Amino acid sequence: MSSHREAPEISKDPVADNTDVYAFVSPDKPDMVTLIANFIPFQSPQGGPNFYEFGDDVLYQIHVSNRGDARTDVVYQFRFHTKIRNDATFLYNTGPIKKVDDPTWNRPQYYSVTKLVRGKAPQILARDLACPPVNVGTRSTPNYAHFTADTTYSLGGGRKVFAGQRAEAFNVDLGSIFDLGVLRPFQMLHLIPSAAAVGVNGTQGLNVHSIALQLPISDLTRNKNAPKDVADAASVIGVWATASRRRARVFNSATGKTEGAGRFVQVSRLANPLFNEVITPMAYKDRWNADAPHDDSQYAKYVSKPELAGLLPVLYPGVFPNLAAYTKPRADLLAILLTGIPNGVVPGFQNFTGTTQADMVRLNVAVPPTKAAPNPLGVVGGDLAGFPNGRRVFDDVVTIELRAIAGLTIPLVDPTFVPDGATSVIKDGTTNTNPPTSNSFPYLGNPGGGFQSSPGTAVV
Amino acid sequence: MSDTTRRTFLALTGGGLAAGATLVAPEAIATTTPITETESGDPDGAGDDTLIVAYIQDPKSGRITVAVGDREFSFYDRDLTKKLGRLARQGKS
Repeated sequence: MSSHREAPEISKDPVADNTDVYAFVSPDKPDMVTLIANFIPFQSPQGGPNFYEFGDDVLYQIHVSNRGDARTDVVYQFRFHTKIRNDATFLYNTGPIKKVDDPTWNRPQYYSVTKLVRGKAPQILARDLACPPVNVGTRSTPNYAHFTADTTYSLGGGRKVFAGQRAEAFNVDLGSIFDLGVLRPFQMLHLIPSAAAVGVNGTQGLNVHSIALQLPISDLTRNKNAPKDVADAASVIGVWATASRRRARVFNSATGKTEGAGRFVQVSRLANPLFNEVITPMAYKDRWNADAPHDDSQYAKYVSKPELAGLLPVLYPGVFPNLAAYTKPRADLLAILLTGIPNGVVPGFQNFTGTTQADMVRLNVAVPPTKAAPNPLGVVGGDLAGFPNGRRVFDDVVTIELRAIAGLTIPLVDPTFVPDGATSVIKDGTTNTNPPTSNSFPYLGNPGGGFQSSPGTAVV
Repeated sequence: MSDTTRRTFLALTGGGLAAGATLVAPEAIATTTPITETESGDPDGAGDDTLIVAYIQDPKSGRITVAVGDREFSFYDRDLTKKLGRLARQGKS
């Protein structure tokens, strides 16, 4: 998964589990950047009566670094609180919920948005903004789509915020990849072969909780402007999201609730998809989640010699001979994941943020969005507005990273290397089979409803 | 690579190493101390001071940390950590 249950400790704390981070110049508003952080993986739409919600005891943050040291320059913080309107019922809703202040919604959730800028006092941008209810079903939350508009709030100056349930947009064949690295379209070539098949989207029918912001580019850049020069270092921002909990938590038997004390400590972190998932060894994943990006040089050795690149030639005998023979440090991956791509590597593009090695989603905001036929393969597909230049909601990051790890991007830095023939075609064979993404804020699709959706079928 | 040599590239990337709402208008970003990654700027987010938790992560260090509200502070008292350690082992109150 991008970062769903990607580390042992956070897999036990889904409310704080950051699953995906997106950052892109908004295609419908090219003077704005959209930042999205998803949390709470694998939500079954049927998951009642206590449906999914943000943690009231979690500090959610979206960070931006813009001066090349991989430290936070601008951060948006989100704190949530829930209410129970009717303490005499076990129900999430006591009738159809037609609007967010409808008394039939028994457990509304609200949030505040605070902005911190390096060297400035905190600014509370908004308070008591209502989240939408989850999509319970056609009777409880009829015509669900209107809730998206109802709970998209203006923060002034074209700025927007949304926090609530959305359809999962990340697609991946979980069942195959975690079964000894099988890629169904190529499983006839696997060490344990079987007939080729189409991919199965492991996130099909599932929802997540999203925090989305749309902001003027000038809110986030080093020089407070909207750069137009792609080659300018000030055109690049680094983005990541975190979730934090209070240091101490004590269960109060009198209330049946956990109480917290002390400062917030980071328990989840995410920028580039799959970094902690498939790069960091399991023994260090929990610590990685607690670390700050500017300390990521300690993990560079796992990027320089990724375990997965060593496994591919073993799992697919004879398919990746050139990759198997390649022994140099993976400078291509170090650039893509930890520093950004410097000028002169990809014509007309760079997203280099300096020599500090840090896992951040790096977005060059001077690259205009691709409006006509964007390529989900992003930069490797010739579309400079896509991953790893930021990340759009439809970017096929699994295929991109699979091919990069298999050696497709080595020639960018080492022209002597010839990628294996399979490198440019390997994929997990999945597409987004959930409600479609949107062309406007908050871009992620409306969540699947509990009544309307069907559970999958288990096969032994 | 056209205008960047491999050597320059490796130096830059480390590749040569094995290892309801109101909004305040944005203001100039000052060059000062970076924001602490988990600093909370929301006064609504501060916990109340009802629960006070004191913990000792390493009894040998003599360090006691107190967590209250959204704050933490530490002090050193080897006698106290020794005593608490002894009581903890004995299971006495």
